[in-house]
Amino acid sequence: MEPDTLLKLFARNRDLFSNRVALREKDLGIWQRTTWREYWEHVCRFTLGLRQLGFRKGDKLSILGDNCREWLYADLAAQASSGISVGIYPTDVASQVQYILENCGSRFIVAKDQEQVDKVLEIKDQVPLLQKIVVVDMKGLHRYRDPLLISFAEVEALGKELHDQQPGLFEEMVQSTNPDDVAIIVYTSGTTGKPKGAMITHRNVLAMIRGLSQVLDFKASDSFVSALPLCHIAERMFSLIFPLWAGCTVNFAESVATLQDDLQEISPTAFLNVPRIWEKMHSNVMIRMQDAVFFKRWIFNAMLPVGRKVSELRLAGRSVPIHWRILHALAYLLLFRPLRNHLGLLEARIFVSGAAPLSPDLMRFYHAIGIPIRECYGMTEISGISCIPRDGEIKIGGVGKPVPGVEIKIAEDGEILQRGELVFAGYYGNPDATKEAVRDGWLHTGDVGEIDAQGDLRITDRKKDIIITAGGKNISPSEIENSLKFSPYVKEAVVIGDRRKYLTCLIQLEFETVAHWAQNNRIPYTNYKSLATHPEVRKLIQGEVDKSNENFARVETIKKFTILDKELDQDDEEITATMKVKRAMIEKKFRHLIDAMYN
Amino acid sequence: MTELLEIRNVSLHFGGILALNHLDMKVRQGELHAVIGPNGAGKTSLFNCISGVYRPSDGEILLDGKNVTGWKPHEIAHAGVARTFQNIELFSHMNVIDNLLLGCHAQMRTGPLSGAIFFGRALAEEVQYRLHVEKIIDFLEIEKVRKKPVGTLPYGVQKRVEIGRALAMKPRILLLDEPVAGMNVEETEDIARFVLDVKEEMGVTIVMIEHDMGVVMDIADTVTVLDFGSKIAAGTPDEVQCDPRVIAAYLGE
Repeated sequence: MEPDTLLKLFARNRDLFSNRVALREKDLGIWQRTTWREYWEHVCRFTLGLRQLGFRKGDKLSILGDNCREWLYADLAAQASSGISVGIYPTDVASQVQYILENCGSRFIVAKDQEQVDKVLEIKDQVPLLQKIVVVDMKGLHRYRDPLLISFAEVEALGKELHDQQPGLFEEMVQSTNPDDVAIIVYTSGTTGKPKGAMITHRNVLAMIRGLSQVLDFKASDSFVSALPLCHIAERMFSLIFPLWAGCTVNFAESVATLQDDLQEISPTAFLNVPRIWEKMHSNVMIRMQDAVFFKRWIFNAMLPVGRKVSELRLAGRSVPIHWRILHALAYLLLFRPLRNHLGLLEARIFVSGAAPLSPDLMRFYHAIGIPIRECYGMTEISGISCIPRDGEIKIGGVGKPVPGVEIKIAEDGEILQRGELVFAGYYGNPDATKEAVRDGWLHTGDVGEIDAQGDLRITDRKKDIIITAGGKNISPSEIENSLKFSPYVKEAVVIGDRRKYLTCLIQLEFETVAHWAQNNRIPYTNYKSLATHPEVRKLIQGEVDKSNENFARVETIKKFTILDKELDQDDEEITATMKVKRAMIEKKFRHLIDAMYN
Repeated sequence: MTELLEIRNVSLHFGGILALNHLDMKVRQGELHAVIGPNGAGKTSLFNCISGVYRPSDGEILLDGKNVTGWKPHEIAHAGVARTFQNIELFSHMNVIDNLLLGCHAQMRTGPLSGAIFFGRALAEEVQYRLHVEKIIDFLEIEKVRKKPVGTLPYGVQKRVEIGRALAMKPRILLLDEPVAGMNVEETEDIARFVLDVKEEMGVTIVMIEHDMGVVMDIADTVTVLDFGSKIAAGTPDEVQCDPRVIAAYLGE
C-alpha cells in the first residue's frame, strides 16, 4: 500500500535507506551523522517517552528553538502520537510565545536551550495548561530547579523503558496514523495582525509531494542545509518532507554564526532561501569586490557581462553561439566557479527562492553567475509551494505553472484563487478566518496576479498593499521596493503613497555595507543612528534612489525619502519573524516622518 | 566546604615599597572569591604571588594544605592553578585552536620525540586534547572564530579565548584578572554568565579581581577588599558593601 501519512513514509525510508545518512549536525567541530535507522530509533524513543509523560492523540507539542536534529525528532514524535506539532519562531519574544501556547493549547513544549527556556519560564504562570518543558541542550541550566523542566535525553530514556516492555507499540502507533489528521499547525508570520495557526493534514502534505515530485527531481543523493526557521512551511518542506519522500540528507549548521562556513563545507545540492538572504549574499559579493585587488576586480567586471549575455540568451530559450560559449567557459573557470565555491553553492543544482518576490535585477545577477534561481509561489495555507517553473521554463518575474494537483484562476478583481487537495484544513480555533480564506473550495490568497500566454503566473503584489495614488493610478509597491533593495546599501524600503499626491519611501540602511563605505570615504560615525543622519550618507542613498527611479514610469518614482534612524526590529513589532515588514505598524509608528514628506 | 587556597600572613616588598602587608585570605573549594580594591592596592601582586611569578618576602601560600610558597610558575600550573591577565596575553599570530591547545600543554605527557613521530600514544593524546579544546570552544561559543588568528579578533572575544586557554589546563583554581574590563554591557553579561557556568558546571574554584562592582555583587560568593596591600574587609558581597572602611577606601573620607 502507498504510504498515506508522513510517518508511514518514514517507516518506508527506515527500511529502504536504513544505513544511509539521513541527518548531519556539526558538533564539537565534526560532522556527526545520523542514519535513517538511528533517526527512526530516536523518534521512537522520544514518542514513547512523551507517551509516558501523558502525551495523547490530538495533543499539541510546541517546538521552540533553532534548527537541530532534535527539532525533527520532536516534530515526527508529535505526529507519530497522532498529535500535532506546532513550531514557534526562535526569535519570538516571550509574549509572542505565550500567545501561540495559549492559542493552540499546548501542554508540552520542546525548548532548544537556555535562551528559549528562559522565555517559557517567564510566562509559565500565564499558561497553566503547560505540563512539561523538554530541554534539548541543558547547558547553563544547572541552577534551574523548576519541576516543569526535563531534558530531551531523559524523555528518550523513559521511552526506551517503554519500548523494552512493548517493542511493537511504536510501529503500531505509526501504522494507526490517519491521513486526515492534522499533522502540523504552522503559524503565519502575521504581517497584518496576530498570527493565525494554519492546520495542515497528512493528506495535504502527501498531495504536495505527489505534485512537486513531477516538477523537482529530488534524489537520495541530494543534500540540503537547514538554515531558515523550521517552523516556516518552506523550511519544513526541505528539511523534513522532501527527505521523507526522496531520502535526501539534511545538514544542520554548528550555530547560526557559522552558517556561511558550514554551507561551504557541505556544498549542498539543493538550496532554498528567502529574498532577504539572496540580497545579503549579493551585497557581500559586491563589497568584497570593492575591496579586492585590481586584477580580481577587472576579472569580475569583464566576466560578469559574459554571464549576463549567455544567461539572457538561455532565459529567452535561444541557442548560445559558439564564441559566446567559449568566452563563457573561460568566465566559468576564472570567475563563476570560484564565486559559487565561495558562496558554498558549487554542487547545487536546485535553487529556489520563495516567501516574497525577488527583484528582477537579483535574478539576472544570479543567473549570470550560473545560479539559476527559480522563483516559486506558495503559502502556508496551500501546504507549501503551489507554483514553480519547470526546468528550462524559468522566467524573470514569473513563478511558473501550478504544480500538478493545483488549479489556479484569477478572480475579477485580480486576486489569485487556488484549489486542490493541498488546500489546508483551516485556521485552528478560528472558523471565521477559515470561511474568509476558503470560499466554495477556492483558497483566496490575497495576492493579485495575472496568467500570461504560456500559462505562467506572475504575481503583482499583495492585494491590500497595492497603492492607489491620489491621481487614481494603481501601483505595486513591492516592485519599487525590490528595485531599491537591490542596492547593497539599502536593507529595507517601505514605499508610501496610498491616496497621496506622490510616492515617498522610508529606507533602512544596510548597516555593514554603509559602515564599510563610510570607512573608505573617511566619514566618522559611531553607530547606526549617526550614519543614518549623516548628510553624506543621505547623498549616497539619494544616488541609489535616483538610479532605481530610472526603471520606473514618472508616477512610480520616489519623490522624497527618509532614512530611518533606527533599525527595524522584531521585538518592536516592526517586522515579522520572517523579516517581512508590518506596513500598518510602520505607517502608524513613523507617521510624523511620513507626514513631513508631504508638507 | 574546605579551603583550597590559603594565603597566610603574606608580605611582599619591592625595595621600600610594601605591596602586600601581612595578608591573610582563605578561598574555599568551589566558591567564587572576588578581590577588590583601589588601583595599586596589591591585587595583581597577590595573583603574581599565587601563580609563582613573585616570591613573597614573608608568609606562606598553601594549596590544598600543601605549602607551595616559592614554587616556580610551571610547577604551580601543574598543581592546577590557571590564570588570565589584565592585558590579554595570547599568542596573537596563532589561531584560537592552537592557543587553546597550548593551554593543554602542561597536561600532556608525551615528549618532543614521540611528538615528532606522532604515532600511538602521542597521536591518541593529541586527539584527546583536541576534543577537550572543542568542548571549551563549544562552552564559550567561539565556534565561528576557531580557525582565526587571535590578533584579528575583537577584544571581547580575545578575552573569552584567554579564559578558554586557562580552562584548557583543566585547572582546580582559576585566577581571573579583570575579566570584564573595557567591555560593554552585553559582553560583560556574557562573561559573567560564562564565569558562573565555569564555577557551577565545571566545579572550578575562581578567584577574580574586578572593578565592575555590579558584576562582583551579582556573582561573587565572598569578597576580600585590599587597600595599600592590607586586607580591610572580607565577607559576603552584602556585608562588604556596608562596611564603612570599604566605602572610605573607595570614595575617600
